[in-house]
Amino acid sequence: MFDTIAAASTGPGLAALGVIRLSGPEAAAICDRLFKPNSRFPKPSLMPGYTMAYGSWRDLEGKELDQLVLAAFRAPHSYTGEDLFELSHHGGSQVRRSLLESLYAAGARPAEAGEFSKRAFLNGKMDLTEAEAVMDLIAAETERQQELALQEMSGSLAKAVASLRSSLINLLATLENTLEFSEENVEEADLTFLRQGLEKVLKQINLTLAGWRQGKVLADAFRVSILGLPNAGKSSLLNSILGESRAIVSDISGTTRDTLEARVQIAGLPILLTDTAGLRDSEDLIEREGVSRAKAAAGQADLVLWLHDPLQAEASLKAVAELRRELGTEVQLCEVVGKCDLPQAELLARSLKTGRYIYWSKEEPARLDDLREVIAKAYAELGPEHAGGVLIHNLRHKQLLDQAKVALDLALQSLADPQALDMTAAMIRNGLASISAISQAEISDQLVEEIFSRFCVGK
Amino acid sequence: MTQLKSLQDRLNQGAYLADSFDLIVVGAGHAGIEAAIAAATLGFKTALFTLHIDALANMPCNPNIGGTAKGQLVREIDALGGVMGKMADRHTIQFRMLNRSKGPAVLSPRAQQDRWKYQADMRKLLENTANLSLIQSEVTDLIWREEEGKKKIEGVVNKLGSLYAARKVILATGTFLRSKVIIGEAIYPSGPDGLSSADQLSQALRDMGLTIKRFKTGTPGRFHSRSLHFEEMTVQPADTEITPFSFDNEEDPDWRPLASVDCYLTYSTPESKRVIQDNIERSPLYSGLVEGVGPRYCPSFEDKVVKFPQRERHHVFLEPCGLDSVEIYASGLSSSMPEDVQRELVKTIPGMENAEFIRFAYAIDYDLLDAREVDLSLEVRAIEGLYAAGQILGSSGYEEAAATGLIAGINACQSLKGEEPIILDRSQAYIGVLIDDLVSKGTEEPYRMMTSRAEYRLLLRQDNADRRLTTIGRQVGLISDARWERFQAKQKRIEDERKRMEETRVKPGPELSAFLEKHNSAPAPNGVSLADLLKRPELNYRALAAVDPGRPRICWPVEAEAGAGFLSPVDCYNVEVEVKYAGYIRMEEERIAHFRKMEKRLIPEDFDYNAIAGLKLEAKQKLTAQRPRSVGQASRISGISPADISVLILALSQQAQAHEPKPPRKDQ
Repeated sequence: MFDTIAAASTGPGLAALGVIRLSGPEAAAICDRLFKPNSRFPKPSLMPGYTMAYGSWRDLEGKELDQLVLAAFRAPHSYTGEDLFELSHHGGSQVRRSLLESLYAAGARPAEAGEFSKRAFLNGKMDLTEAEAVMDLIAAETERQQELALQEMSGSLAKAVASLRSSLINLLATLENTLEFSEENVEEADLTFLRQGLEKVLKQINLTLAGWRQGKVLADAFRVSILGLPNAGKSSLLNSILGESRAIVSDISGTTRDTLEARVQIAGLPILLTDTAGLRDSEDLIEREGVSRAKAAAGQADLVLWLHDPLQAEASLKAVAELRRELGTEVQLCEVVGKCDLPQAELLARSLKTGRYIYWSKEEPARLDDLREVIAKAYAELGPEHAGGVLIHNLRHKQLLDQAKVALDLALQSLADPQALDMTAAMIRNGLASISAISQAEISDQLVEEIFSRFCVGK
Repeated sequence: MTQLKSLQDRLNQGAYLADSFDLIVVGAGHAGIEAAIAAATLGFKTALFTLHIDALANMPCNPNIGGTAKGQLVREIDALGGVMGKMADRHTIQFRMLNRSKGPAVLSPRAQQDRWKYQADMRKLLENTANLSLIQSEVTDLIWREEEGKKKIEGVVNKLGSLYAARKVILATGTFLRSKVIIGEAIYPSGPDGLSSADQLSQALRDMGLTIKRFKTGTPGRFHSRSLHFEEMTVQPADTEITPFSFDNEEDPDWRPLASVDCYLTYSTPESKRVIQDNIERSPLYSGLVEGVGPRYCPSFEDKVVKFPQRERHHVFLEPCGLDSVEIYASGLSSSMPEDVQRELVKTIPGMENAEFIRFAYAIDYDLLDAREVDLSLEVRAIEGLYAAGQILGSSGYEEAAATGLIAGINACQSLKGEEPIILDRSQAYIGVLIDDLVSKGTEEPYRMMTSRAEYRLLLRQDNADRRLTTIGRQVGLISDARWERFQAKQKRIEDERKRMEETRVKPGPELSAFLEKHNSAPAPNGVSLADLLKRPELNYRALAAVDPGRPRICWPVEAEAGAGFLSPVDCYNVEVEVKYAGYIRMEEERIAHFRKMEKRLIPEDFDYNAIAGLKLEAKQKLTAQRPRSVGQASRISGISPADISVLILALSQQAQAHEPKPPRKDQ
């Protein structure tokens, strides 16, 4: 059997109340030893599910630790599928610590990260996509991340998968019917129907996959790399954005030889800022390594901020043109006119053709509001407007969708050879297997059911 | 009823011991025959019990062997060393290759049989098989003893009360156990074709603690050919290009089917539908008279009318039952309606207005086992030495029966020899799919093999059944030296040619360009390999001859010593499929690799599911009852969820860490 686990379910920090969860076969017995209910409440092991009791919590020596409300959830009707109790206790780390210590002393074990959800999954309380979503929810840092995890938990990914599955099963059943019962079915497979059906499913998969970059941003981070010539003030820009002195700032060109990373939240998005070494051909080996890392960071970025130095305008313009060429269209780039309090800045700004640039100077960080807008816009451009769609962010889901896409593309191609409908069927089946793996559903039985319910087969 | 079950107890009571065998097969249908011949061929003293010698190898429904998925089964049976394919090849009166235009994986041979010639020939084969005793006598009880909680089979008792001792017993009772025939309001004990039923054996099975289920099946009427107006129907001619089931005959240039007769197609009318609808309350299916569960793929005509009322017409195929007979089988008209409704019904069908009935359509229901109480080797889990095959496991069809019969026979012999059972997995053979479906999932209706039940259909083709299974047949001992040598030579020819296609490049030039243009194929300015050309949908092996002067000569028979430089037409087809669809096949192989991983995670035989935390009670019960061999098999048991499997994998890996490795289970 599983053992009994306990952990604080609310985060650290000041709050009026906190919640501790206790789950497992011994949960009721442990509560019986530690919790003394007020006279009108039953002892914990006699509490029915979905009821609460008020009383005094004591350690094994009988010393009162808190007055609290105990909520009971009885197996299997609980989050984990086991007996589960929630202690709503008074806030404060001292209270929490003492309560947890009393639980551990009475036989519970500290829960590992995500262990409650893992038990819920193992006990069949949720499917894999839901469990993954819960894990994400726990790890969610920002509001939008939380929204994404909630959206998935409420089953929108599961719904999208179910809809793709039923479309594919429908196509496959039609195809299988003509392959299987050729003795009695004179009707031939309608290739146009198959082609259109496959195209529709592929369109839906592509749309879902297109949400991958946005989804990944929400689950992980929107990567912004700051690039520019040496001494353009990149580290100062980073610090302005962070509002703190994270990077080493100096006036000696080439101070930042490595890349620096910092996390910050802008426009509701988790942002990973990367400060890089200035781009130039350097004799200094360490600096050269820094330059190649900068280019690498730019290649992985969702948005590159090119910081112009009006004092080296010509070289800066040349360098950014070259960078644009190297990066291609995959990476979005925004130019920043630095040191904008200098008169040369306006001159440089005038020579910028692209509409998207912003001003910044160490002295006028207020202009960074523009940056917020740039980032929000760049994020929006990562994906399509997903009206009612699903943002995927889990690598496993993306890989399965990619696999399905490959198989279904092949299925579509195989229709060119109408003498090999079995190949088409096999490829649809492969695609269906990948889609089904997202939520771990079975195929064959459902397919056979579908054939029998839709077609009059048999002699 | 006696409480004494063991051989010793019965002998002590003075019962008569008639004979002793290594192996006894109960039932001489398609399953029992394969089992008995395999065992006798392998040198074991074998008895085959039948109720009716004159009715062995009977085809009481459609007299045809093969069809989609079933044709593949027959090829697999042949590759393993079974007899059905060879026998069918000798009595084929109409051959058709189904799905010729739909792709190699669903290409299925189907051969209409002269059912009486098939039976007579099979009887001759059985009578002349060494080590085999053919005995006409009803088996009414089983002899078994119980030691340390484990039951062990010891033989059978016949209706005369005599004991027949045996180390292994195979049950292949078909539809004869407590069977009842139902025609309208008439219901009476009877086996198929008016043969007597076996009414006592079910009780013996119950006494052993086995679950008895009940299924229903049915068959259409037979009509006198002189009364049918074939000229009003569509002719269904035999194929002109004919291939045998047996890999032996494939290599015999003189092989021919017995005949190539025509079949006919007509349709029911809206009038037919009305006849059924007006009389539906007289159908035993809807009046509740039938206890058994019937098959959906072989619905009665009244079922079709009720379930698909929007359809105005249904196919009726008229097929001869033999060359020396006037009986015509009416496929599509299966029914259990009363005689007067059957007579009214045929009057509404073009060409059948004056049809003379020779046999009426009927439904039959019968006792069977729950296949989930049998393991993948087809041994009944609770009784050592007792095996089951054919319809008693819930399958339907002659081919499904023969396939399980052969495997039960082989595995009973493997056990007698002290060797591991032969277990084919779902990626190896339709037989593997069939057995795994029956045993792991169980079935709630008579189970018919379908190609869509096989996940790895592209690899389970009729053309490569020999490559997949001959080695296993050889290992078991059912493949002769001559056949084995022919097999190896064929595989070498195919492999050499496949390699040659991959390695030979056609040089660019006017000749290639002209060829491609002629076939509307894309230009290949830098030249191209023969294999890549063959992959193009618009090109085939035959057409490529124009740009492939170096290809081997296609001829038959291939002289053994000629070796390289010759290919048979069968070889060419095999190469063509393998090369043309290589990309698809590779994807399938990748999926198989993944599948095998789960199949290879074996579960110890004594694994305690009750000790696993987090496993649902239902899962514990099902896993304990069925004892799956691997995690893969466990995942296919109905009611076992992916979450249960995750828990199981977790528990297995924890146990593996905690304990010394255990000795492998016996069927590893």
